[in-house]
Amino acid sequence: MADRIRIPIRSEGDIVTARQHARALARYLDFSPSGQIRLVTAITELARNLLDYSTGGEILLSLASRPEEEGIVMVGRDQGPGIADVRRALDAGFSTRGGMGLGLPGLRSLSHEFGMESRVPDGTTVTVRSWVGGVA
Amino acid sequence: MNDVRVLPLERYEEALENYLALADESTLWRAYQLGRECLESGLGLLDLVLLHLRVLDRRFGDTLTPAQVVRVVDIEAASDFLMEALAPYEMAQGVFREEADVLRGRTDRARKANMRYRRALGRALQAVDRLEEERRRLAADLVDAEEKERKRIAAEVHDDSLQVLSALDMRIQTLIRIEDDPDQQRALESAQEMVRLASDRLRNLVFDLRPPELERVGLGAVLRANLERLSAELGIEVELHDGLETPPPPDAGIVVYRIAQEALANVRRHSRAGSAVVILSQQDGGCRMEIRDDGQGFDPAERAGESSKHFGLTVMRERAETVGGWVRVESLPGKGTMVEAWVPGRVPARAPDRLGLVHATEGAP
Repeated sequence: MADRIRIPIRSEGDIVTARQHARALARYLDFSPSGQIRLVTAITELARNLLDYSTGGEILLSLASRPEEEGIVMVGRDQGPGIADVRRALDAGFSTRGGMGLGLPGLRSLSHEFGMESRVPDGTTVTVRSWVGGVA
Repeated sequence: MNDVRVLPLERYEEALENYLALADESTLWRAYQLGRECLESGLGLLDLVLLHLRVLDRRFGDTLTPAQVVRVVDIEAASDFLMEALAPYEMAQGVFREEADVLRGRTDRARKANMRYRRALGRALQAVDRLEEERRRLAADLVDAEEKERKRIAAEVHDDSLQVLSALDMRIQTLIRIEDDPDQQRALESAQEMVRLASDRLRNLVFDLRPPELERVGLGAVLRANLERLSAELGIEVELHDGLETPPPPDAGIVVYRIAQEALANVRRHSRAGSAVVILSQQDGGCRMEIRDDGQGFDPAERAGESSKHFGLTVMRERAETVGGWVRVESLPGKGTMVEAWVPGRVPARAPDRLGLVHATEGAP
């Protein structure tokens, strides 16, 4: 298994590809059944976000490790337009486009570590980590 | 929000059928999409599970014939499908939990900040009270010191200057007697007259400076004497209406008297009045005094700072406040002036002095 997978997200079909890779990696690392579903949910929301709020982008999927624990790191990246107010974007209920605004806060609640960087107009990078033994 | 009662029963069944047939990520993703759609439309978690069970019942309910045995793998796959449809609910629950934590933190912080502000406000108000108390005490001390100083000057004038003038008067009297020259006699008599005029003026000064004998003769009588002197000096009409039933306590009585003195001095110096009226009455458990003249008046707004200094209004006010009373002045150019003062029937205790006394007593062995 490659330890770094690059998945371009340009259409809904790419979401399926992302989910497949994430599920396979989660199984490989022996995540619990619910942990697997959470991870797949996370990558789905990340991909949806790239399609809904941007013109697409890519997700980098790789193994993460720290002493005595393994995990998965997902990095979602787009090319613009960037988010002016990152803190507000992480408020549930905030959405520039209607809907429930659950995407980014949901992603954060599903993962163990969450980071977001955005620069107008360069684009946004979201990084999340999940550990096999951790509780999200 | 969509109507929650419209269950996507057919679409759910179709998606589940597709998944059972193909069992791939693409058909499983449909479960997630349906779950998220149900969440956003407001469908409850239990409703979604019931929807799933109804689909299962339609799919497997009548297949338990010997010919068609339900495949175990189908049951497992249906469960996977349900789990995937429930995943959005799991996510929403996580978000709401985090939001609730944030709100709780904010509420706690707001409550703590509120308590801090209230404590700070309490301390500030206490400081204001202390300052106000201190200011009152200083004003009262000042009034006390002033009364003492007046008393001292009055005694000095009475016991010394007036005695010297009296001796001078007698000496001139002797000289007039032994003088034969009528011209010299007339000159001595004129000098004697001036000495007596000076004596009268000094006696008036002593009268003004000395604390009035309020307890013996009463506030009304003392004010009447002042008014009569004013009338004799200026040739104006004066009136006194004394409606007091109970005399004010000594401290308050002196305050009223000094305010009257100041007001009548203003009548004498500035008013060019033809008449002055003093009214004493009982009001709100205290003593009210009104002094009115028909003189030229002044515009209180136009020269607020200047006039209050000029007419001794600040001094009157401070004196009234030392016994818990107040002073009000009304005037208009050409419409005369009215000074109204009130003092309570019972003078409030001066707390700092009392505390000082208690400490001193307790400190003594």
